[in-house]
Amino acid sequence: MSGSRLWDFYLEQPGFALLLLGNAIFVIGALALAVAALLLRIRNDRTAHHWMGLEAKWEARTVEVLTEAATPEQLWALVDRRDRLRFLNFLLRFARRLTGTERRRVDELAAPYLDLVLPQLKARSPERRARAIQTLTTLGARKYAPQVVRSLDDPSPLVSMVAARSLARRESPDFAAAILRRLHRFGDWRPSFLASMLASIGPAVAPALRQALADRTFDPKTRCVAADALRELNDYASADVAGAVLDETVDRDLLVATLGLLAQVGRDDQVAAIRRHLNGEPIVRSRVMSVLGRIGSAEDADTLVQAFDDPSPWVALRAAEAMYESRNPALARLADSDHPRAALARQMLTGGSA
Amino acid sequence: MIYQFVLRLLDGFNVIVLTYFVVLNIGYFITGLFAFRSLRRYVRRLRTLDIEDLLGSAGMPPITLVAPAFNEEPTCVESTRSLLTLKYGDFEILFVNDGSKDGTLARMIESFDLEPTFRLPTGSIATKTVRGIYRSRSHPKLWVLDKENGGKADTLNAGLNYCRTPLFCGMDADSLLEREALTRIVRPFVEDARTVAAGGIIRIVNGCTVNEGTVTNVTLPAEMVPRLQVLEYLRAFLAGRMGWHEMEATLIISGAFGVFRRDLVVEAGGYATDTVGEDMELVVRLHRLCREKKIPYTIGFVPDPVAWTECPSTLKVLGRQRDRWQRGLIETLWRHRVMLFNPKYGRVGMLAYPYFVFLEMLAPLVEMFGYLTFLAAWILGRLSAPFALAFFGLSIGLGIGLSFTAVALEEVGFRRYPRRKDLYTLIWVAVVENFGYRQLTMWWRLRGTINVFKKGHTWGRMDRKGFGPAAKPPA
Repeated sequence: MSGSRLWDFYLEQPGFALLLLGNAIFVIGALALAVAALLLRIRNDRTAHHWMGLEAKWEARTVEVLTEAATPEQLWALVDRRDRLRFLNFLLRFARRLTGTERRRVDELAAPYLDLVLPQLKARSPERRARAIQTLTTLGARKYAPQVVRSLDDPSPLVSMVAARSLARRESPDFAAAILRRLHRFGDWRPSFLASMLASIGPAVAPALRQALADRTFDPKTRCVAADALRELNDYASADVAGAVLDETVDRDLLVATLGLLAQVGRDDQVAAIRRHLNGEPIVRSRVMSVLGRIGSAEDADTLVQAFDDPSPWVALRAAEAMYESRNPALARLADSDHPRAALARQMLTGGSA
Repeated sequence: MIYQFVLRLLDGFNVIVLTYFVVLNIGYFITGLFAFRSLRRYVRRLRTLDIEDLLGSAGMPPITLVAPAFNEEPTCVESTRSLLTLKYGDFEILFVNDGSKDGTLARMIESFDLEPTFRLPTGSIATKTVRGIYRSRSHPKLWVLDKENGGKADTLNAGLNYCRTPLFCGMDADSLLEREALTRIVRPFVEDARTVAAGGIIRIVNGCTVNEGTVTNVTLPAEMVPRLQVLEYLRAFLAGRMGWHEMEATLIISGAFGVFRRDLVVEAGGYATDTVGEDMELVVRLHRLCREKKIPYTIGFVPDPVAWTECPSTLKVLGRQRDRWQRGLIETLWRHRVMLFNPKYGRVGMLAYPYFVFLEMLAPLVEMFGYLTFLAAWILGRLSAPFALAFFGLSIGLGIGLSFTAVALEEVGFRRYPRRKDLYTLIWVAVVENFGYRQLTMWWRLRGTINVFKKGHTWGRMDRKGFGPAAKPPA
């Protein structure tokens, strides 16, 4: 078919021609993508080369400043006006490797540039706002705390969480209260992670956590997080609050979290309240076994032996652990017997854990 | 009269085939667009993440890595060593030997100082008999289960029965996970408590330098067959799965690297042992379970946690692998056909499922049909040059375009191949693969479609070279 006949064919069948045109546009677009990928690589290689050279210079001088072989002014003199944000990024990465005095020196080196980050707190992209918070809280003094606390109410959950984690690292109970009040905003996050974040503030956060655990107006999930955080903190003062929660709550997750706390900090006078949950769901029963192993009395020994036969392997596992921890002689008897789970008892006795 | 009818029929078929290709490629294109959007956002988000900070957090959930193994003697020690060096707070490894006929178990016992022990099963999914349980004296995190041969799904189920952590990671025993891979793949579970499963990206280790279980230098393989697969993997993961993730309709999590909530998988009945596509089948079943029981959930794909795996380096082995994949796809889609165009299953039922049925499952049939009608038209003298141009233009031009898109996505996102030469090669391979390789792939998939009615459900045979010198780049 000659060129003109082909053309005639396409004119007669415009749909077909459109199809080919669309195809051509797509292929050209894809070719453009391939060219863009190549150009992007060339540009990135060049940029990386440039920044690596620059950062090598900054790093060498920063080390000199930290060892007092150079002054901060000598380092700042290496930072071009247009590279200031990049310099902050460099310090952010550098600071993460340091602690103590050296870490504080890096904060001082960043101080003249930090105000440049403030406009980014209003950036459209949540990722940029989150990054700004990270920079301010990692390198910044307490003076930026108000801005960061305000970011707890940022519409983006990412920004809000980055702010919360940054504040938690500050180890100040003032911030703890602010975070706790907004804990419902992190409803999607894993409770154990939130608990760990709160516990990282340190013992000073415990009073606020106890209050949250006791407060029935808080949602059960927040109270679970508070209980888990108190457990991580090993907060013995929360035993009474936990005991009270045990009596009032019907929420399974809160019950499990509270039993977990009591396994850590509970007292023997609370055992009676704990035994009331021996007929709960398997997850509750297994937690009860753990608590009884820690703070139970001689009269719980038989309970643990019975739980070894529990239909749920999880309960049997925790009962075996509890028997091992409470040095219950029945564990050795079970190990020598022909009990279907005798091997579990043997494993406990030889390995000390399941 | 009949002749005229046949000719018209042929023309009609040609139009149908053509239309199918248009729709298919529009589907790919839309997925690619979604992937681009998702990837850009993800890369920006990564900048706000401090992995060391996450690693230091006590709130990261404990994980059990379930590594099923069958005849993995050449790679089992190195890949297990690699797992032991993972940077993650609380994890244990369950290496499950599925009655290997080679020296897999003996090598494990010798290399990791294993001793027989006991471990209480917490699940009761029916599996072949577990013959022995071992724990390493030198690495207490490492446990080895030795069981009778029952196939990969059965082996994963055995591991699941002994798993005690809220999450488990299903993987291949010969995969190498990057050090931070677990921390990265667990993020969705931490950030969104509704997450029930997340998949990571699989990359090809052929050609790379591996040092003590860690990939230290990433280069393209020297051989053509693995090279072609590098491109295919980029297309499947970065353009395909990233796009479906953005549309919240992920249907596949690779069996080589995925993390799941243990309780839900147990509730769903574990991995199906009567299909070769147990990884996809499980994900589809989880969708069904959560939708039918109205459990709030999300299943996603995370593009930066990497599992490196050795891919077939001969066409024969590759053909067998693709045959299995196609059978797995068909078996899964047939089993859960109730989801097709069923609004009860949301985007999965209305969007992802029809896409996989009509544009993935049927693609080899239609493409082969297209070639046949093309041939018939040529024999009968009905072959029009415009049609030929349109057909090849679509078939090859769009194929190249889609591969370029995947290469661009890799460049925008991760740039894991640092040598510029490798980028040029990928672009070149994107063109070359359309002339012969793509048709061959279609043939293997067509064979898989036919074999779906007769094949069993055993392990796919893979001739491993190991991660030693064979995997190093050429001098």
